[in-house]
Amino acid sequence: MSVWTPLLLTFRIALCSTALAAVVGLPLAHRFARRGNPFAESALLLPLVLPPTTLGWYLLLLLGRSTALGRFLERHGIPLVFDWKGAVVAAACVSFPLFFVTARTALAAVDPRWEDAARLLGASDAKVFARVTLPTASRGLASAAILAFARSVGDFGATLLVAGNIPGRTQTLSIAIYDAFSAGDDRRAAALVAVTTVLAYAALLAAHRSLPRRWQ
Amino acid sequence: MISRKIAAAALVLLAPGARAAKTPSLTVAAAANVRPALEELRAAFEARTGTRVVVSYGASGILARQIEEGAPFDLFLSADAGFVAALESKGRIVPGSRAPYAVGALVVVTARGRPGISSVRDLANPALRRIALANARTAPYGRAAMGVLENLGLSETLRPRLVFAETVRDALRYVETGDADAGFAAESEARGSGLSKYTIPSNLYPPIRQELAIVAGGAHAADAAAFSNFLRAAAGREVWARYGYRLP
Repeated sequence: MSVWTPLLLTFRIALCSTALAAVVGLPLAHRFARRGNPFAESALLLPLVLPPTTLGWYLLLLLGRSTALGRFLERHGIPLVFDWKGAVVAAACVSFPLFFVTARTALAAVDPRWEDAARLLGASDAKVFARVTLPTASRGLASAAILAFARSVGDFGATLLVAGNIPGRTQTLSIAIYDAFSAGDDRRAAALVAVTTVLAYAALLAAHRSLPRRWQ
Repeated sequence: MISRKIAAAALVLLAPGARAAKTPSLTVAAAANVRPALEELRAAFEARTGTRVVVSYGASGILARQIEEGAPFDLFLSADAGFVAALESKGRIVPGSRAPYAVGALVVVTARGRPGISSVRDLANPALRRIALANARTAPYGRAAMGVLENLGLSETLRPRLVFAETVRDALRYVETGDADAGFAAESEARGSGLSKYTIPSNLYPPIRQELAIVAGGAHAADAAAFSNFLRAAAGREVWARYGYRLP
């Protein structure tokens, strides 16, 4: 199997997981940007410090085929375990804290006087968020998304537990590297390692460039 | 403009037609030790039938656990009959599809530049500071290796020097790279490694009876049965024997 197959699959999974992390993370980051809550925020940041295999274990407990939620999703044509969609959920959980913490910082840095000015001019909360907060924090939010993407690309443990190692279906770059090493196929392993390193470096570079100048 | 291009690329990647790979015709879960022989057999089967076979290699115990959890495999080649029996008792394999296909042999390999051995007891040589073996809980070859050490009363002496790998294949890799000084490997894989090896007498461990079975609920049961028959027919047996397996 070529290097392209796990690369494209990894790209696909990382894009979807970043979108998922952003959809869940953006409202939460906005909520905690102005008024922190150490208990709730520590819980949200847990995946950053938990071993990925622990996260995988939790996900299997929650979404496994023998659980109520797993059966419900499967009945509705959304099988997660041992499917690329499961890898998306695993990668989203692993990358969520990076998105959340960067997005929260970006949103907290928006000058509240601009939001207050918009409100004084009659804008609703939703309009203030869409027209003032989001555009002002856009560079930081782009950084958050790129960091989440880079973290998704690199995940191994959670993805392996939830999605397994099925070439062409769930075998991402990191799992393909392990598989090639295990097979003694050093040329393939080296090619995959090079591709992964370039991809991760490019993502970090993009994240750095998208950061507001004062954060760089 | 650039963001439009990125969005277009993302749409192409995410479009249903842009699946990373074609859906395979037959998905097989196989013990790591069979990889060299099975790759040859897979290619021969694909050439003969045109059926595409995708193989996920791993420790038999982990693969069995994945099948129990509903992993979408069609055929399971285990390194140990016990895992297949456990799946049978849980209704996860097709009744009557269990069959032995090979009997594994265990060897000790030593890394290049390290002293070779002519008996398992030679592993006590202090020059062999790291000894790799597969995880005994998930890999039958690891269990057999631990059994050999216990039979010879070496397990406690050597325990601080043991390094556990996920599969017997990984244990061999540690020795190939020189990260471990010696290790327990499958005869089938040690042959191609070019490392110095010692074949452990088969009376020191119970036979490693490798069994296969068709997974219940698999989408390609007929292809799985055809591949199962192919692996156990005369041509298949010749390949297993050539890779160092004894035949059931």
